[in-house]
Amino acid sequence: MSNQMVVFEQVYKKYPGNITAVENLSFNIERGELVFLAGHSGAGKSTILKLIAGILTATDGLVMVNGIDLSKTKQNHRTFIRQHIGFIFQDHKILFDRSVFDNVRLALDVLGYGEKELKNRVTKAIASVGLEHKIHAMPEQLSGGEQQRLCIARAVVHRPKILIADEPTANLDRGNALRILELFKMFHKAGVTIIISAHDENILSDYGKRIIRINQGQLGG
Amino acid sequence: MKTISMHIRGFVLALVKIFKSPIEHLLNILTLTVIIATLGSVLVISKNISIIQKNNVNFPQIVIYLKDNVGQNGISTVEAAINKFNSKIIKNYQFISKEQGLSELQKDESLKQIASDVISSNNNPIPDVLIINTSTADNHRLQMLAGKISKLEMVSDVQMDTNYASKIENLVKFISKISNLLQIAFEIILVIVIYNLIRLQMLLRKDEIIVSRLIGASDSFIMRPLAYYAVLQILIATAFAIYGVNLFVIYLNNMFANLASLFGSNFRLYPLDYMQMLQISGILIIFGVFAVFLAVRWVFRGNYVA
Ligand SMILES: Nc1ncnc2c1ncn2[C@@H]1O[C@H](COP(=O)(O)OP(=O)(O)OP(=O)(O)O)[C@@H](O)[C@H]1O
Ligand SMILES: [Mg+2]
Repeated sequence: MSNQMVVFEQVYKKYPGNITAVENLSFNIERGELVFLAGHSGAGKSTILKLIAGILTATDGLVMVNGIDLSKTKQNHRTFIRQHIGFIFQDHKILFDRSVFDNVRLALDVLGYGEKELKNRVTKAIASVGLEHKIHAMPEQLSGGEQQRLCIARAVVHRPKILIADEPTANLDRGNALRILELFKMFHKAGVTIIISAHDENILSDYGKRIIRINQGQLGG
Repeated sequence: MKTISMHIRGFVLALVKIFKSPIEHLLNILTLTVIIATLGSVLVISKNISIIQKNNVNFPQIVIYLKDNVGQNGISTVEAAINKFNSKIIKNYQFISKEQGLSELQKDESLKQIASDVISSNNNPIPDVLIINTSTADNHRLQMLAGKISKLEMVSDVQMDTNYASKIENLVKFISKISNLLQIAFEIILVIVIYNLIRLQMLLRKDEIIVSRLIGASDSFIMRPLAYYAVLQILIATAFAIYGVNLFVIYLNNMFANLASLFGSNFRLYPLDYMQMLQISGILIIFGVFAVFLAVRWVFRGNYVA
């Protein structure tokens, strides 16, 4: 098995209306690595992360994740690939009509877990992000940082091989942002490949991890 | 085992959902009930018409007049020929000799005089007659049979009154065609209604569906609860509808019973039987799941992520 978890080779992504979000982009991410994806707003960070998760498909070029060529897989199969990925969305995608517990359980429902195992895992995931006291709270009763933690719990509850976080520290004060990054470090230690995007590099420089810089859909900046 | 518990959980969730906001769902169920009840009524009508046709219609008789003085041999020859046709539409036949015909005439008060005149002149003009009771009202087949018989050597004439029978036959055909068309129409309406119902449900649950999709939900994961929901609503509506239709049939039969005592007929409607109920539920569930499938496909194509 190759040592690369993510391979981008001359990848292009065009949105309808001839908007080029990613242009001739090549990079690798190793198994078990923790990398940051940095770039200004509109640079193409979210687009790149969605390409990795198979939520979007490349217009051209090669996108390989865990040895699978995503450009050649059908929509239905890409859906299954997402079952091995944890994604923390920039806009959170929290369901406000249900409790913290029920938000997190959705990720296991999708996989068809039985009730007992599910309860066990959801409780553990919620505890691992320090939200156990809010397990039955509704999302609107959570602070910004707590909502971010809820998203992380939902992304890790099924123990994915890759964890992708799209600007998990945005809108958080420095203290909260650092606490969130500590959480990722913890999952990194457990062997998960982690990709985190951010537009504010200040907070990243302390970590001594590789930073992939994106500028207008290309490497550099 | 995992899938069974998943199905059970799906059904329970759908049930809980319907009971949580019964008013909203009652409206849907009511709409479905009305449509299914109409469908059921059409089925009751077409079933009863075919029963009436089978039991109560007198199919035409073919009356065969034999030539004069064919004798016992001639009669046997004709009978043998008819047997040889071995036609499915011949129920039975009956021979009436000229002597029998005459004594029948004598029984009739008004014709008694004529009959005794005939006897006294010792020259019975009544022909030997064979009467065939048929078992169809199909004009074409009857004509064919009559044609074949009239070609037999000993036969002088063949008569048949197909008019009445073929009128009834045509009427029944017409009604059953209409009821078939109505059935198809109502089934289409049902698919559209269920389709819309599911689309509405999907729009109401749009966020959940998008998120599920994003975290790896398969088509069937998204379709399953919608299918349970649709099937459950159809089952409840079908139960109401069948109960309603059969109650109405009982009500009508009571009414007929009163009329019957006036007109001396024992006409009654037959309600839907268990097989038909099962059939209706089965067909509707298939249509329902089909509508769910359509709705999910359609909505995915428009608005949702890959
Ligand atoms: N669905 C879309 N349709 C058309 N254009 C899009 C779409 N999504 C993104 N874009 C465009 O693609 C480019 C890259 O967008 P993207 O969301 O990847 O940037 P980003 O780096 O995540 O920005 P931010 O830091 O603000 O989240 C932008 O110019 C954006 O306007
Ligand atoms: Mg973004």
